[in-house]
Amino acid sequence: MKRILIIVCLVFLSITSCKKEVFDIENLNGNRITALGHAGMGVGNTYPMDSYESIVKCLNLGMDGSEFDVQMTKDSVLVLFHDMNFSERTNLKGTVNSLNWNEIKNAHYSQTLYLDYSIISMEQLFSNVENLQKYKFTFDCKMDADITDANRFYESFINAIVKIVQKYKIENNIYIEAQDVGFLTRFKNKYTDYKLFIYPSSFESGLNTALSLNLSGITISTRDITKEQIKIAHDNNLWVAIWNTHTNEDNMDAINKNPDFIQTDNVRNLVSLLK
Amino acid sequence: MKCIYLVFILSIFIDSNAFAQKDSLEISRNLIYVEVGGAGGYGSVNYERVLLDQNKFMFTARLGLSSYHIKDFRNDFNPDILIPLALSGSYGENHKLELGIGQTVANIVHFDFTENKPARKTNFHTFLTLGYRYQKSTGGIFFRFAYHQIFELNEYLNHWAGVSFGYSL
Repeated sequence: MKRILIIVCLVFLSITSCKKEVFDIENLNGNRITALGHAGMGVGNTYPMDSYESIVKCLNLGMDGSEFDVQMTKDSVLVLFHDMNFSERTNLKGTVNSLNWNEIKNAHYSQTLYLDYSIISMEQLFSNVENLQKYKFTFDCKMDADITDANRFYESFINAIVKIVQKYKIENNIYIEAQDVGFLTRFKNKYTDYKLFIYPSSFESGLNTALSLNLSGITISTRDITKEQIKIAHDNNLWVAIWNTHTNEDNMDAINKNPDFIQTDNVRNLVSLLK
Repeated sequence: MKCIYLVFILSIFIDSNAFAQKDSLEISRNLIYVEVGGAGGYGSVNYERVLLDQNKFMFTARLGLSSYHIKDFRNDFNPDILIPLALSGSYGENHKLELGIGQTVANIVHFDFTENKPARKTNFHTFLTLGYRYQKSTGGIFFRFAYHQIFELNEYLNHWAGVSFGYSL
C-alpha cells in the first residue's frame, strides 16, 4: 500500500512539474508574438491551403489569425490561391488572372483523395467568419500574373484590397506582404496607413527595401534569418514575420528569435506553445 | 442507379448464404482488417465476408469505415465518413492474386456558401483493385498489398495503393 502511494505521488509530481515553457519575448509587438496559420492549417494538411475550411479551422484552434495567398481574377475579384497555375491542385486549368470569377467559383481542390473543398474569394471568407474583428490577417499578394500593364494591374489590385478591407472595417487587423517592390511602392504611395511587408529573398535585401520604401516590416523564412538579424530589424523599427515552421523544434526556434509574427505550418503546436 | 448498387452490396452482407457452399463448414468466412492507404483514403477499418471459397477461387464482399476529420473546421465533433464497399475475386491457395471493384461513399463536411453554413456532401467514387493477398481458408493472419485505380467523383483517375493487415476467423 505504501509503495503504491509513493508511486502515485511520484506520478503526480512528474505531471505537475511539466510546466509550460515560458518565453521571454522582446519585440515591437508588445513583447508578444502574433500566431498566424500559414494559409490556414499550413502545408500538407488535409484541408487545402487557402480554403475556407483550412482558415476557419486554424482560427477555431485558437490562433490570432491567418496568413493567406491573394491573387486577382481577370474581372478584379480577389481569390485566395497559392499556386501560379490551377492545374496542379484543382480541377481547373489556367491562372487566376486569366479567368473570371464565374469560371472559378464552382471549381474545387483535388489534392486530397475524396476531399473537394471550394476555391474561395476573399469576399466569401470575410462574409463568413464569425467575430471577424477579433482576428489578424496577412495577405500574401501574388503578382505572378502575366501582365502587360503592371501599373494598371497594381492599381486594380490595390483598389480591390482597399475596397474589401474598408467594407469589413478591418484596416487595423490586416498586413499586406508581397515580393513585388513595384506593387509595394505604389501601395505605400497611395495608402500610407496600411502595414506593408516586403517578402525578400535575403534579409539584407529585405532590410534595404523596407527602409528605403518606409515599409512596416519584413516577411521571411525562419531559415533565412537569425535572432541577431531580427534585433537589427527591430532596431530599425521594422516588424518581422517569419514562416516555414513545421515542427515543434521549428516553432520553438522561431519563438526564441523574438519575431513579431509567426506564420506556422504546425498550428496545434504553436497554439500549445504560445497560448 | 447508385442506390440500387448500394442496396445490392448491402444485401450481400445481410444474406451471404445465397453464395455460400453448404459443404464448407471449416472455412473462415469473416475477416477483419486495417488498411493503410487504400480505398478508404489514408486508412480504414474493414469487415470482409467470404461468399465463396472453392477450387482456389475466393469471392468476398467488403464493408469499410474511414474518416479524414473527426472534428470539423469549427472544431465540433462532426466526422467525415468514408465507406469503401467492394466485391473481390481472388485465385490461389494461400497466396492469392486479387481483382476487385467497388465504390467509396464519401460523406464530407464542408462549408456551403449557398446556405452560408456547414453542410454534408455525399459523393460516390468507383475503384478497381489489383493486389496480392495472403489468406488461409481456415483462418488466421491476413495480409494484402494492393494497387487501386480510384475514379474520384467517377471522373478523375487517381493511382493509389494500400497495405492491409488483419485476421480471419
